[in-house]
Amino acid sequence: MRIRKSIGAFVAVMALVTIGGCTSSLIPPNWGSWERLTAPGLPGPIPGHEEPIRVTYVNPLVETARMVTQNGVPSLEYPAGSIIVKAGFKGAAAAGQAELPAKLYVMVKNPADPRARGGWLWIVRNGTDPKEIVVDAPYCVDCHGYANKANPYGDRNPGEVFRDYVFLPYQITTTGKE
Amino acid sequence: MSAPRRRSFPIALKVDLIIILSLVVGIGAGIAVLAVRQFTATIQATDDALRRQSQIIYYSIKNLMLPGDAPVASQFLGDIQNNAGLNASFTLYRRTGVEAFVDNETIRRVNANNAPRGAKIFAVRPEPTETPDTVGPEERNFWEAVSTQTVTVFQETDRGRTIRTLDTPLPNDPPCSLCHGTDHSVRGILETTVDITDSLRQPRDSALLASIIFVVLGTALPLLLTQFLRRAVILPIQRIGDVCRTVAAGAFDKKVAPRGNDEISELGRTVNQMVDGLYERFQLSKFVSASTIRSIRESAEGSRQPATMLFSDVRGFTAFSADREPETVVRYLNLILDTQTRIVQANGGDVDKYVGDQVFALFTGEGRELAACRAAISIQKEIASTKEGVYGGLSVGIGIDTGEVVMGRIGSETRADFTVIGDRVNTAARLCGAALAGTVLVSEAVRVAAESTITTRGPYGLRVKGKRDPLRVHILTGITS
Repeated sequence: MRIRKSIGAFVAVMALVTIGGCTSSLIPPNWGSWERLTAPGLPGPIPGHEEPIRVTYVNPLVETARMVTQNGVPSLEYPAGSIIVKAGFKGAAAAGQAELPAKLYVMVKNPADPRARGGWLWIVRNGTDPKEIVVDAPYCVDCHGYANKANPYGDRNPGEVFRDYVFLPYQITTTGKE
Repeated sequence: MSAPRRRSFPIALKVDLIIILSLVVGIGAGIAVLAVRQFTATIQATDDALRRQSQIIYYSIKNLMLPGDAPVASQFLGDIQNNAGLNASFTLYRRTGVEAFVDNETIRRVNANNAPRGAKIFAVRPEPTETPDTVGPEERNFWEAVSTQTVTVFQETDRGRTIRTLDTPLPNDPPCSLCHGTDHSVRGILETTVDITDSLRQPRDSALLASIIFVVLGTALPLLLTQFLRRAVILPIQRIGDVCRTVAAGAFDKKVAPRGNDEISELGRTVNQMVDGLYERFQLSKFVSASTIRSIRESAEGSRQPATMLFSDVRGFTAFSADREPETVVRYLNLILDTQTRIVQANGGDVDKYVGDQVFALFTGEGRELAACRAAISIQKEIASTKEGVYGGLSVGIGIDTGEVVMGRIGSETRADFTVIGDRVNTAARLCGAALAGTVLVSEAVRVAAESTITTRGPYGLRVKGKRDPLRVHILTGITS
């Protein structure tokens, strides 16, 4: 009887742990309803994002990012909780048909998370696979680190303003100004 | 019907099994876990070192390449290969699987990208005389690193050497893509190969040594403990068991020979004391009736039960003993008492007590009257059939009565007998007193109870002390069944 109770308790705990583990998604399910920055989509592959069409979505917190000047040096700061979702499409669907993204590249601002690099969690999700992979390598942050320097994308950041690892900040994309 | 005896499982075997299980589960599993962890830790440390080295080389090459110093980067990689004293080899491949820094393909692509935007045009190097090293399609870890843009690890054994290979993708970072174009994510793969045979030897040797020790211990310990258990526990217990079996068979001549002062020796001494006690009680039981012993076992208090009483008394004993030596008297008396006792017991009766030359025997249970009559006839026949010398010419008169009597322990707390009392007992004694030598007087109750199995003569009226009316008695003449 005691053994049965112990097994029952163990199964219950494991179920709770499993359910708890399953619910710890970093990418909110409603990301598709957020503001789209690139419509209909950035054409052509770029390093790290080889899908021919990419659409970027930002959650409302991203809009509150602000320029801060410290010791005369300006920098763009995104508040914790900011989420940028870049959906990569293969462009294989027929005209007028909806296409599911082939890959999701997600930046979640969470400096407190030990997995964060440059204050962001770099997450990849393949196709319809719900598994979210937090990239535990310098690959993403190394490349996006060039957003804070002069680079070949967008306005090329000629002033080498710290843009918090985002190549095309919301403010520049929507207003053309920092 | 007794339950079937379970197959015995020797203690030594049980202990051996426990030891072996403990060794396997405890030490064996511990050794296995430690060996696996040591192997894993060694490989993990190797991988970490290779990853760090790869990253350092990647950053070095990238920072040499960005200003356009590709030849310097090529030289740097060559120097590391040949002179850095690292135990790993590093080879840089383009994402197409062709070895980098060997031919002019990349230079031509870069120049094609740079020319329209007026950027630097690089000089081509002399064309290679040999075909550049190329990664084959079977090297899946390489192509996986290209497609997934993640570090892949591969291990293989070649001619007894364990080779571990890390394929580290070099990303096409934005500054790189200015010259190399933006149509790809991975510039190339830095393949790091290291021979970890020697690194694995030490944990492997440790695991092997631990396994040998484990096997030796696992074999020797059970053997040693079996011997120890045999000597210290099992054999002494077997000896004690032998003594107990001998006692159970009715012999008291065997004793345990305890050695030392441990618990089993103490048990042996206790068993010896117990055997001594049993022997004393056994000897004493000869002087105590079976019913007395039964009453002791059952702590019987008084109860009313049906029983048949046989009294036998030697006739002319007073005159017999008057002109003989006491030793002779006792010898003949014992002889005649012994004969009667054997016959009573042979017929299922129990000699309750001897009172001088008188025997008082008790028969209980189904057919007790016939059993008592049979015993009485046998006694008379036995004594009558022997020559005068056997019993010294002595003869007995026997009286038998049957009916309800009171059975119980009679006496004080310190000295008691289990016996029967009641009117029927007195009657049997009176019948015995009235019986002539060589005859058996039975009561009317006995005759009625055993009528179909005995033959009698009578009835006769017998006036006895304490009875107002004469008793109706019969002379037992034989047994018919």
